[in-house]
Amino acid sequence: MEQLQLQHILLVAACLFCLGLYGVLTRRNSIAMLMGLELMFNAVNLNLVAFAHFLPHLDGVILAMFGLAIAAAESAVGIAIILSVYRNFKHIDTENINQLKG
Amino acid sequence: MPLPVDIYAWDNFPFASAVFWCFAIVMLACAFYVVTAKRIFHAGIAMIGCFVCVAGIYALLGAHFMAGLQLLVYVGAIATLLLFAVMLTDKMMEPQRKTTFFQPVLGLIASFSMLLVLWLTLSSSNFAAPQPAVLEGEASAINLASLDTANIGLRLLSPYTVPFELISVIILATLIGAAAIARKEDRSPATAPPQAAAAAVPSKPQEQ
Repeated sequence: MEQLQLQHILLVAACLFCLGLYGVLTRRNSIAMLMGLELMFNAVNLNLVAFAHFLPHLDGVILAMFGLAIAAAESAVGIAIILSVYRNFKHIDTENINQLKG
Repeated sequence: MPLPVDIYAWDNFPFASAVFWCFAIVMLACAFYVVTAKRIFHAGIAMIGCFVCVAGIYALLGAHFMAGLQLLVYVGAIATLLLFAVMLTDKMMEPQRKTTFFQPVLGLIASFSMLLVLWLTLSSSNFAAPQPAVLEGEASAINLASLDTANIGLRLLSPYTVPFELISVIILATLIGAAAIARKEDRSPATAPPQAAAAAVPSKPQEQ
């Protein structure tokens, strides 16, 4: 049985990143776009942990931890903005949100 | 007595590659469902499966603390937050409105070209055999080659103190900002009559 290889993990992470990119580009619902963004964050963190495992060096994991904290903060602010937009527009379709001060 | 932790124990695990591919296939299938599901609540549920598979890959790579963090933060906090936002804002069990024809096509073109660029970069780059981590000038108590939780704690407190504190300040600012953005703005001064505000001021000392 073959061992884990760095290229395989990077390839899987690249696929995950592109799926997230597709989600962000094609969805209209703001929350679905946030979901695609989280997939992209996960792909980046997967890359960092894979490099930390194969280098081997601890700093990749610490950088991934910081990225995870930033992702949590981004998600909280994004959802707060989405709720505020929903209160003003009664929907969260990005194509019909066309004014900043409702 | 601390248990000996060998980060390469999982590499010698005979089915490591097979387990990785199982996790990877389930993860990519869940991610595909996240971006294509018609009902957005189902997309959120599939996203939880994707996060759990990513945590499994972290554990397979020896980053156990990162796997725990992934489960706690992504599955426990972010996915729950997104699902609650779906339930608060959307008719969650109704299919999403159809997009125009060109939007998925353009998205496919963009993401496939991104995948092509990444694939070309991966196939053309030569990842050399791992070399032992350079330990010059580092504290000898920290084994930089080990992704152990104790080492992560030591590393966070010796060279990464300032980023660590900055992250906590950012999270505090995010909490306050999210609460300020999401609250209802029904306390504007136009709605409160000025007589009530004036009458409320002298009544305060009497109550105390």
